[in-house]
Order: sequence, then C-alpha cells, then structure tokens
Amino acid sequence: MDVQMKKGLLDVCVLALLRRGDSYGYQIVTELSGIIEISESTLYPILKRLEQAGQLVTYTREHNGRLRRYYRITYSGAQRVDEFARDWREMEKINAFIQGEIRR
Amino acid sequence: MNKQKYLRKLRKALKGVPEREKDNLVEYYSELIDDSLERGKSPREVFSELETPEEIAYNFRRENDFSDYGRRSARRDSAYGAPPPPYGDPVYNVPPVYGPAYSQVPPPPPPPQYRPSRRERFREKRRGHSALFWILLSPFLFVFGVLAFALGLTLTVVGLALLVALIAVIAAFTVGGLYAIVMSFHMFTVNASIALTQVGAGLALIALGNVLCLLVGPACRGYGAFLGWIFRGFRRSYRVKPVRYRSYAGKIATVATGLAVLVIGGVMGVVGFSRLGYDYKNLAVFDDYTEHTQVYDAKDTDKISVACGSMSLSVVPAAGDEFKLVWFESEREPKRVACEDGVLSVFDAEDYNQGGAAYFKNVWERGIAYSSLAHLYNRATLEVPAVFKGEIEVSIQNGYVSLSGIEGGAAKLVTSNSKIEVSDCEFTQLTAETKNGAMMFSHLAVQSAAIENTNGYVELSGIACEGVLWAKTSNGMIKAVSATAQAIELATSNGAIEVQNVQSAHIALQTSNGAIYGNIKGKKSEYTVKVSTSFGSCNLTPQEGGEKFLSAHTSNGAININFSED
Repeated sequence: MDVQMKKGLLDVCVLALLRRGDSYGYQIVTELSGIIEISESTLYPILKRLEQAGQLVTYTREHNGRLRRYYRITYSGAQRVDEFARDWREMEKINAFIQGEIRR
Repeated sequence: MNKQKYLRKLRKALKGVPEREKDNLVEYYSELIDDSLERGKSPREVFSELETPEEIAYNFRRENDFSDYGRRSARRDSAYGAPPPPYGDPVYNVPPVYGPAYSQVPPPPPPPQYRPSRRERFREKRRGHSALFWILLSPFLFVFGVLAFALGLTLTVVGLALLVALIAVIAAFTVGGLYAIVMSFHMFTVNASIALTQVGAGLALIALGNVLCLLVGPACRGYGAFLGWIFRGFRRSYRVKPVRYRSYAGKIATVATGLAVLVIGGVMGVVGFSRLGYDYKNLAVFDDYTEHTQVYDAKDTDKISVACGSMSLSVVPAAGDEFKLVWFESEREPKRVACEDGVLSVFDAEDYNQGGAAYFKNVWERGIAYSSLAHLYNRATLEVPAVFKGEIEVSIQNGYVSLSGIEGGAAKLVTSNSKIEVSDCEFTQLTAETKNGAMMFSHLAVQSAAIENTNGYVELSGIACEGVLWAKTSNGMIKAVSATAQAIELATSNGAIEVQNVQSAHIALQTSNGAIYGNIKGKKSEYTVKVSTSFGSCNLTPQEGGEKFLSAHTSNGAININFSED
C-alpha cells in the first residue's frame, strides 16, 4: 500500500480499535496486523501523534509486577472516527472514479 | 539476545536523543517485549520478529527529524545523508499525463531504507567464533571467571557478616537493657538510687537497640540488591521497579520514641548516679565487711595457696619472720584461712556458693555491678617474710593480684577478670594467666616465665630469665623492654609487639594484626633471620648462617627491627 495513504489510514484504524475499548501496545499491534500491515515501530509514532493531537490519553496500570501503558480514546478521537465513516461515501465516489478512469 | 541486552543496545543507538524521548521509547519496547514473552512467544521468536535496535533508532530519528542519523558511515553512502523527501509524493507535483507517456514518469525514489553499516555487516558475518579463538582464549577466560567468582563470593559473605553483626548488636542491646531493668525490680526495695541507675541504663540500651532496628530493613534490601548486582555479573538491572508508596510516618515515630526513651533513660541514670554521689563503687549493695588479721609462723611452710571468687590480693614482704594476713570478710562471703601441713591457705568458705543460681541471686539482691565491684571491698594483704622461699599459687576470678618484692619458688597466678602486677620479685618458674586484664611485670629474675592473656596487654620490663620467656595474648599488645633470656617467644593475635633492648639467642615474634618493631641487642650478623609479612613493609631480609635465631611473622603490619650494635 502507498506509504502516505497508509499513514492516514493507520491513525483511524488505531482510534477505531480503541473505540471498542482501552488497549495496550502489544494488543493493538496484534489485532491490527490482521487488518493492515503494521509493525511496532510504526505504531509508536502514531500513538505519540494521536496523544499530542488530543485524540487519545494514556494511563499506566500495574500488571504482573510491571507497569503497562494503556491507551484510551477521547471524544475528539471518536469524532475523527465518525468523520472517517462519513468520508467513506466520498471515498467510494473517488474510488469509482479512479477505477472508471483506469478502465477507460 | 535478551531483553536487557536489547534495551541497552537501543539506548546506545539513541545516543543524542533527549532523555525523556529515549525513556518513552525504551519503555514502549520493554513493555512490548514483556507482553510478547507473556503470550508464550520464545525469546528467539520475539527478537527475530522485532526490528534491530539500530533500525528502530534510525526510523525514530527520521520520523522526528533528528538531523544526525546516528552513524557516520551513513553519510558515506549516497543513499542516505540525503534529506528526507519532502512531505507528499513528488509525483503529485508533476501534472498528470495520461496515456503511454504516463509510464515514463520516473517512479519516486524510495525512501532511504535502513541498511546496516559496514561494521554491522561485518559483525553479522562474523557472528560465530572459530575453535582456535576459544582454544587460545579459554585459559584467560577461566582465570578471569575464577577470580570473578571468588570476588563475588567474598563480597556476598562479607555483606552477610555485616548484616548478622547488626542484628547481633541489636539483640545484645535489647537483651542487656531488659536484663538491667528486670534485675532492678527487687533493687527498688533495697536501694532506690541503684535501681534507678540500672533502669535508666537499661532504657537507654533498649532505645538504642530499637532505633538500630530501623536499619535492618534497608540493610536487607540493600544486601539483596547488592547480591543481585553481583550475580548479574556486576551489571545493572533494567527491570522497571514498581513505584512503592513509602510511608515515613512509622519510621519517624520509631526514631522519635527511641530518642525520647533514650533521653528519659539517660536522665534517670544520671539522677540515680548522682544520688550515689557519682561514685561507681556505690553501684551495688555490699554487706559490711569486717577486717580480720592473722599472723602465722613461716617455719615449715613451703606453699601459699589463695583461691577466692572476688578478691584483690596484694603480696608484699614482711618486716619480721612471720606471715601477716589482713583480709576482709562479710557474713555472706566468709573465708577460710589456715596455715597447716606446710600450706598457708586462704579460700572462700565451702558453703559459699559462687556459681550458677547463686550468681543471679547476688545480682538480684545486690545490683548488676556487684561481681565486678566486689573485689574493691574484698581486699587482702599478705606480708611474706624473707625466710619463705616456697611456692605461691593464686587463683582469683574477679580481682587484682599484685606481688612486690617477693622471693620464692614457683609462682602461679591465675585470674579471670583481673589485673596482674608483679614487680621486684624472684621466682623459679612464673606462670601468669588472665582473661581480661592488663599484665605488668617489672624487674623480675626467673628461671622461666609463661604468661598468657586473652584480652589485655602484657608489659615486661627488666626481666632476667635464665630459660624461656614466653608471653602470649589474643587481643592486646606485648611490650618487652630490657629483657634477657635464653629464648624469648612473644605471640599475639591482634596487637603490636614492641621490643626494646632485648637480648636472647632465640627470639620468636609473632602477630596477626599488628606491627613488630623495636630493637634487639646484638649484631644482625649473629642471627639467622626468618621474616614474613603479608601486608606491610619489612626492614629485615632473611639471612642464614647466624648462631642465634630471630623470627618475626605478621599478617597485617610492618616489621621494623634494628640491632643495637650495627
């Protein structure tokens, strides 16, 4: 997949996953790797970016004697996911156009 | 590869990145690794799936525009060193061309991929070591391994000993303090001031023990961390330590109460002691001692035998021809004095019980300091006429033994906790033994002397010995000044040995912790010298060929012996 496109999609994928419930790094990577190609080192900057943008928050909890960082979606993050869902119709239109062009 | 190593490499690869960023990234990967391992993946799988620390660092820097990509070799290759492509695919800047010309638009250059540096590629290839490498290196590795193991073991044992010592001190203080307080209960009915002093001292000791207890927790934790450091091969642990809420309230309360009790105990002790007139002699209750005097004929007496529990004995020459014994006796400590069958004897009366339960009964009724101070009241002076040349045998547990100006046969002086002082005497064989106390011998003429002390110093001066002069102590210094003997042997465990103007054909000086110094009368060339010291300088060199013999051995200490005629 195109690197730039993937970049935009990954953010929303992470947010959509967190919409279902709080999660932590490893779990996010494992669950998303079934859907879209993602590695640990790509996830880290995404999480950082989303936190800086205020679309998720982090907290730490103790787990088996060590500390684990959990991520939780915020209202603005949820809004972004909804926005993507709304944009999907526009995306379908664009996709049809591109496919149409190529078929031309 | 393991987690610590991986994270360490990651940290190293992130050199130059601000600390907080580094910590966040390392923590993120640490968590990831822990979670992967927890889910049952083998370390091999985990680390082969993860990118290498160098890759991660490279990508991280690129993402965050840290201009130095971290490796100088990167700039050599034209693929990197180039600035990252501007945001957005360059193709977007080219107007779209449809049809066959579209395919002529060059594809955008791929973003610089991670490529290991030359050094890393080299290391990758040389991952395995040849057999020759191991064969050559193994002896050094073995020696190093053994040394590291010995060092680790020593440090472990030393740390444990210190920990045990701390606990022993606390136990001693607490038990001692309780003992003093419990033994004061009865004392309040007898002598309140003594009781008050005892209670005060007891409280102070318990308070100190209690405050020291606070050190045990941190000491154990510190020892545990210390052991962990050793057994990790002297490396730090990268484990994330959970933040523990540490309450200091309890500790502050303990210290405050400890100090309060210490002050109270101190005040009580001082008040009690002041009411005793600040005289330590008043710290126990003593019965009235009555003075007795007895005179005996010295004719046909060839032995003096004294055996008492507590007594200070002073033996001096008599003016006339008779023995004169002046002693003190109390109702509870009667003495049996007799001069019959050629023996002048001074004993504790048989029904006076000294040991076991009687000891505690004494302490209960008369105060803790009783046995240590009893000899002050239990004094005796024996005047010995010049006509007596027999044996002298003194056996005292607590007290002071002093002989002055006596000429006799064999002298045997044995005490447990007392000072022994012998001066201006002449004996055939002198045996002197004490456990706690100083020993001082001056101006003696003996055929042989065997002196043994456990805790205390031995001082010999002006000794003329025909045979062997032998002095031994465990904790204490031995000093021999102007001593002449056929053979002199001085041995101590913790303490120095000083010889001044000593003359003998066979001198053996031995100590474990302490220096050996002084001067010997004679010429070095006359002696066969054997010396050894483990830590410390030695001014003597071994030499053979002398008729006389000198040996000086110490473990921790310097040896500095000179010869007066050199």
